[in-house]
Amino acid sequence: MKTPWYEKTAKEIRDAVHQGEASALDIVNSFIEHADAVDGTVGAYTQRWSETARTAAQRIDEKIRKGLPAGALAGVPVALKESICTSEGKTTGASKMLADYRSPFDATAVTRLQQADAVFLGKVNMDELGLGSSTETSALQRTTNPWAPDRVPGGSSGGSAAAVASGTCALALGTDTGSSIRQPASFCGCIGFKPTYGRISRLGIIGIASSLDHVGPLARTVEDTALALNVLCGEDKGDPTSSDRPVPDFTRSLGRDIRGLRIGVPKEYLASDLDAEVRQYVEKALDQFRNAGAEIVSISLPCTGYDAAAYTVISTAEMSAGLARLDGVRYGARHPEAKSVPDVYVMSKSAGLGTEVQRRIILGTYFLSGKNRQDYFVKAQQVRTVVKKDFQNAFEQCDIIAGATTATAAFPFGSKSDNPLEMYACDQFTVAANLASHPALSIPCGKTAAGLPIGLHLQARSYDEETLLGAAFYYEQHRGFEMGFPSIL
Amino acid sequence: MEHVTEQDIDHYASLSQFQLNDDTRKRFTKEINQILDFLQILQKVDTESIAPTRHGTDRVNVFRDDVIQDPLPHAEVFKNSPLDDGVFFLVPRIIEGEDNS
Repeated sequence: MKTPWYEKTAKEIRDAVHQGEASALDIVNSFIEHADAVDGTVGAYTQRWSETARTAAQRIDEKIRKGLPAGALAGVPVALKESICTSEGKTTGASKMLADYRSPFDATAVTRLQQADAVFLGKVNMDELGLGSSTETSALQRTTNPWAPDRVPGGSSGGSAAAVASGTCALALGTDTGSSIRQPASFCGCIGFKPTYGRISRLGIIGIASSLDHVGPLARTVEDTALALNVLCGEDKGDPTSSDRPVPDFTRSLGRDIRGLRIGVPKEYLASDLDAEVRQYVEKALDQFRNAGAEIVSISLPCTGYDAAAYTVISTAEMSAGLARLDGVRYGARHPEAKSVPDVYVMSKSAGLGTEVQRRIILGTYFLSGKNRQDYFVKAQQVRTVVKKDFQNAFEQCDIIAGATTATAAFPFGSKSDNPLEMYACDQFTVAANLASHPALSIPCGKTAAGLPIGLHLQARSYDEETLLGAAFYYEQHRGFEMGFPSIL
Repeated sequence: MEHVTEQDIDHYASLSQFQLNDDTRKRFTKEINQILDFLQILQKVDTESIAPTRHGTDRVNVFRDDVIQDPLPHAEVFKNSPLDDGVFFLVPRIIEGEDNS
């Protein structure tokens, strides 16, 4: 039987459209029908834009028929996280507060994808405003892990990862403040890429902690990730934090010889409470790199452990300031019984924002109040400098830092909801890349005996996405297994 | 490092414009104290004479060209507003006094 389009990569889809071997409309319809069949079980999509997707596909087919140039992602079906502003549909951040919010404009990342002729199939679920690691804090719906319906998909970009893994889109956009692209990618068995801070514009993203927020792609192959990065990266005058460094053609880093590549393994990562199966598959991946001629170097990251503490303080402090804008005055759900301005604030926020959001805002307010500002917030910012220096030192001894993305595979629903510290610990290996701004990705490196995906976390120097993609591509080609699609579908 | 009481949590909740019910206040007090215990680890890091890192970007003084751009039309500005008169966002009266509506 011929492989259905929804099982093909973005690269295969793009090439087929460019060469006129398939119509974008047929491809988009294949994904829509597949989503009709499986997304009732997965629950990744919060909005389906099937009709506008078909219209967009027809426009691309028209371009091809007329011999006009088509974009680098022509006909590639994409899902967008609920926190990414689109003039189409709603942008809710999976929060009751923004349940009816309609953005007046598209995020720059969305515009860039559209200019590359990608086709949007809709929006996907997330933890409320990006605060969570399981997509359980969404005010919209439950999203399940496509590999195991009793397990969470991770978060906060859980809908993005679940959609990519279940083949209901070829690419997805997510955001990552501490782990939110890489941890769900690890749990769902796809690739999640957080670029260097500033590589991708954040204009039009519902931000939560400006100094830590990133946008990035989730995909099924490293090559698709590189194609997406080629489109997404680059300076945006609308985002002053976006980088003005030149953007290379990331696909050229694929197929690089990795002989002599130095892969650093922090002794602190292996000393931590890794699940035995996770450890086994990460070590197997390191063996594969070693056998390919890479040099495995034992390194030390003394900041391991206190990076997560600094992250907790900085992220919640920034959230408490930034999320004050969700007050029901200019937009958002104003409480219908509010009779005074203080009522508007207190009643609207108390009713419109969920428990996790409230907890983190209150915690952040605590860190910014009075003497705590110096004791916690400034202290954490100083520790952030120490974390950056630790990584600078480590990257003098190696080109890539490798470890597990998460200490365990996907956990069951409800198992961590009552313990914020346990939930925050999901980020222990990933937050450092947000604090230090360097690029990092998660790539599947195996499955547990129970069939749950395990993620390998690779990190590289700031702006050296190419080395990261080169190493990941080599690993993907030689890891000796295909991730495939979940059997429940 | 200190612990917070339920009264403290109420204080920080009110600074953040939240009203907590009894259960949530109790729950937050317990959880936030657990988090504060975890954060003690920060004190082990010697940060004497270390400058804080305040942002992720390495850019300084990024300016946009000083040109007038089209603003959002009023209809777009107000399409998400809970209450407005087409020109202003409306909120309940702030200053008590003569009704001049």
